Amino acid sequence: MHLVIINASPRVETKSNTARIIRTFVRGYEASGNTTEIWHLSDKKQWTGAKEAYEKNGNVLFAIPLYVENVPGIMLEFLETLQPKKESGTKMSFILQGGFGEASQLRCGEAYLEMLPSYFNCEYNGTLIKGDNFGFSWVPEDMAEKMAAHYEKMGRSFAEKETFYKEEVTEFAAPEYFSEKEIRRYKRIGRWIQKALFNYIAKKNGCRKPLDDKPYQVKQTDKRA
Amino acid sequence: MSVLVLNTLSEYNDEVLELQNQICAQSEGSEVVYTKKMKISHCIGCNYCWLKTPGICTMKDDYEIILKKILHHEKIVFITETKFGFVSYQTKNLLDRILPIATMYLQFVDGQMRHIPRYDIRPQMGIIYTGSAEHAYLERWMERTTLNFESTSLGVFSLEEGRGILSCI
Repeated sequence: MHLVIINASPRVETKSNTARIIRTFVRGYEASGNTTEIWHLSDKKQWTGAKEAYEKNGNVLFAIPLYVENVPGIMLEFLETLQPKKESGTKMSFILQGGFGEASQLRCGEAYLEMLPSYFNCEYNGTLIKGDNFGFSWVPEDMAEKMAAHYEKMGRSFAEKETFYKEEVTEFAAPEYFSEKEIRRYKRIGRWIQKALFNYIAKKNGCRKPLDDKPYQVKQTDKRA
Repeated sequence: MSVLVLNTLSEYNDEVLELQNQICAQSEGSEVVYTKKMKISHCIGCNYCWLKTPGICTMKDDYEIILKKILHHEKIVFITETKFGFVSYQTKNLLDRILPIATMYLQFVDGQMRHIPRYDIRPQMGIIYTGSAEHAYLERWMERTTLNFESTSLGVFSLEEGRGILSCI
């Protein structure tokens, strides 16, 4: 089956973690002879094409990075350009990805996506959620590819089942929460390693300030009553 | 305890004006910002505010005015239109762009990972909306959103019930 994929990330395609997830997912989805077309909302020139693809096709998937517990503003702006489908039957599926490792962080966004297709006279066809994707942009290319590789399996599964089943997704997205043991280990060791890693990335970026710098700090005397 | 009212409505509204006046009369130092004519881009997800220019957004537009104002108030009330049961993209952009008030650094709070706040502010936030919304969802979303800033939701109110917010601020 032909699948229209709309990348709702506002980040340019070459640096988009969501784009990497799409590429990997598509490898699995196309393995059995399916076809896809991909549109990136970060490029305004692609909006008309994405809109027409939505209008002409009955199988649409939005791939979305979680922004403040829901879809990014740019996606909401794009949705305003779409009209509800005149005929019912279009399937709308979603991939929702985030940086934090716990699946529970994506549930609020997922709950919105469950409602969204009805505003377009479309059918909700499941959401593939998964966190722990922040690192892609900061590691070498081959390592990033390995980190995203598990999406290929889900692409194959989507080709076969033509939907995302919640049980399968929950298993893929686990853990829902970190265990108390994992949290204790993070507090003891993990956070120091992580902090050193963030500082290293910042230095590589040419950052000259501490990462907890307070450029707009308000002096107590300036504070309004 | 002052309130920053961020009005993203595309049209002038008498009822809203009256409500804003009541909010400002109730809490000294409160102010209203109309974003309609301001140039505010969406967040482009570059992460510079966390990993290159800590606390400073790379997009040089009118949002900087709002970011600075946020530090001066304890509470933020968004007055927004609704689309697809949710807040308008204009309002979502204001929230997507608020990330510079958090740092890249992480911590566990109540068993979930969170970003460590950059400043000593813990802004409470609430919503007043026009049109129709997935009300229960908006309440859940506002509660989750404020958790990220170690604060709490002031609640979500339709414009008809907008006076309800006065007892929350």
